[in-house]
Amino acid sequence: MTQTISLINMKGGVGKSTLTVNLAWHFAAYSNWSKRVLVVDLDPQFNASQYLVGVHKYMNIINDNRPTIWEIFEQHTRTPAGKTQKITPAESVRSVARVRHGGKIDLIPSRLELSLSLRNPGQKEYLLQKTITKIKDNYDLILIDCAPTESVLTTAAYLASDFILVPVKPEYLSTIGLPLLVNSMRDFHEQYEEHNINLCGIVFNAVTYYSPEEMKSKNEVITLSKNNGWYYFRNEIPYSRSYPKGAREGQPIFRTSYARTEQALKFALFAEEFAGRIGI
Amino acid sequence: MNYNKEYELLKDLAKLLQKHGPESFKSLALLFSDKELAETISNILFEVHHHSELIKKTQKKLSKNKTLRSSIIELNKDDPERTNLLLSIYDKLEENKYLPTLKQIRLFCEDNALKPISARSRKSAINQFVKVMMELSSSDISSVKKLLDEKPEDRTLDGWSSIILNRKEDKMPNQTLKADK
Repeated sequence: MTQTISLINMKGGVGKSTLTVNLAWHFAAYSNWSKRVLVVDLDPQFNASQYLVGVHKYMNIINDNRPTIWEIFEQHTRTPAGKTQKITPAESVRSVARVRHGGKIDLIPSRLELSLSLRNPGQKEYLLQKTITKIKDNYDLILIDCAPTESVLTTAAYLASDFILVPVKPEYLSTIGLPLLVNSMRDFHEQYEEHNINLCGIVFNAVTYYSPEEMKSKNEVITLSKNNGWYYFRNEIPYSRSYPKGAREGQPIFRTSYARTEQALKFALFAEEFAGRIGI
Repeated sequence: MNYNKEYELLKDLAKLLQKHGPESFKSLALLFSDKELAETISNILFEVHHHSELIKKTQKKLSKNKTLRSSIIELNKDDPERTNLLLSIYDKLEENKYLPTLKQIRLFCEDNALKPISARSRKSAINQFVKVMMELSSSDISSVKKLLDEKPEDRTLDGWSSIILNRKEDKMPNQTLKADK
C-alpha cells in the first residue's frame, strides 16, 4: 500500500528538502529497500528539485511543455483565450534515478511561479490529492516537500497525505514552528473533518550534541510532545557537513565522499524507525 | 537403454524437493495442469536458458586473452550498428570522455539499474562496464549511450542564478528596472 508523507514545519531552514531527498534515496537505493519513491516538490523555492536534478536537467524540465507542480495547481485557471489547461498527472512525473531490483526515484518538480498560485488560492486545495490518487499505484512511498508557510499548498499537502513528518532543529525559533504547525493541523481537522491525517512524528535534525541551548530546546520539545501525545523519533539526525556537500553533488549522504560512517549510519537508523512508523 | 539423464534430473528434483518442500511442488503441479500455462512457462524457461548460455559464451570468449576491443568486433560481426555503438562507448570511456572517474562509473550503473561495478580501478571498471553493455539489447545500449552523451550536470550557483534571475525578469520587467535605478 502506498504511503504519502508530507515533510512540514512552519519554520524554514530546518532541513525539510535535505531530509526528503535523503529519505527518497534511502528507500530507493540503500540496502535492500528497492522502493518506488515519488518526490513531490511543493515549495516555490524548489530546493528538492535543485537537489535531485542539476541546472541542465531543470532547464529541460521547464522547457519541455510538460506540467510541473505549478501547472497542476493552475490547470483550471482560465487563460486569456478562455481555455483551461487540464493536465495528465503521469506527464508531470520526471524520472531521476532507476535502481536495480525495481527501486526508483521520480520527481514532480516545482518552479518559482508556484508562488503566484498562492495569490489566487480558490478551490485549488484538492488538485494535488486528485493528481496523486491517479498515479499513486506506481509508487510505494510518496514524499511531499512542503513550503514553510501556511497557505493553500499546506492544505493541499494535508489532503494528499496519510502522515505528517516534522523535522525540528533543536534551537529556540525552530521549535516554535512546532506549535504553529499543530495549530495549523487542528484548523485543518476542523474544516475537513472527513479527512484523516496522522502525525508520524517529530525528528530532531542537525543535532550537534554540544550546546546547552540545544539540550534545552530538545527537552522542551520532548516535554511538549509527551504532554500532547505526539511521537518523537528516538533516532536523531546529527549535523554533518556531508549534507550540504551531498546537495551540491546531487547525492544522498550515504554516497558522499566525506560521510562519516557514524553519521550516515545514524541517518539510516532514523530511516528504519520512520519506515516502522508508516508501515512500509 | 541408458537413463542417466533422467536419473540426474530426478536427483536434482530431489534436492529441490528438500529445498522448497512438498507443498510447493504440489501447488506447482496443480498450476501445470493448465496446459496453456505450462507451455508458456516452458517457453520462458527455454528463453532464459538460451539467454544465459549466450552470456556464458560471451564471457568465455572475452576471457581468451583477447583485447576487449577485438572481442567486441568479433562477437558482433553480424551487426555493424551494434559494434559501432559498443566501440564508441568503449573508446570514449578509454579517452576519459565518458565517466572520467571510477566513482562516476559506479554511480552511473547504480542510477540506471545496470549491474553494479565491483572493480577497484577505472581500467577494470571500463572492462566490466563494457561487458555489461554487451549483454544488453541494441536499443538498451543506445539508450545508455544517450545518457552518457548528456552534458555533465551543472550544479553551480551561477547556473541556478541564471534560471532564477532570468525568469524573474521575464515575469516582472518593470519592477526590475525600478530596483536597478
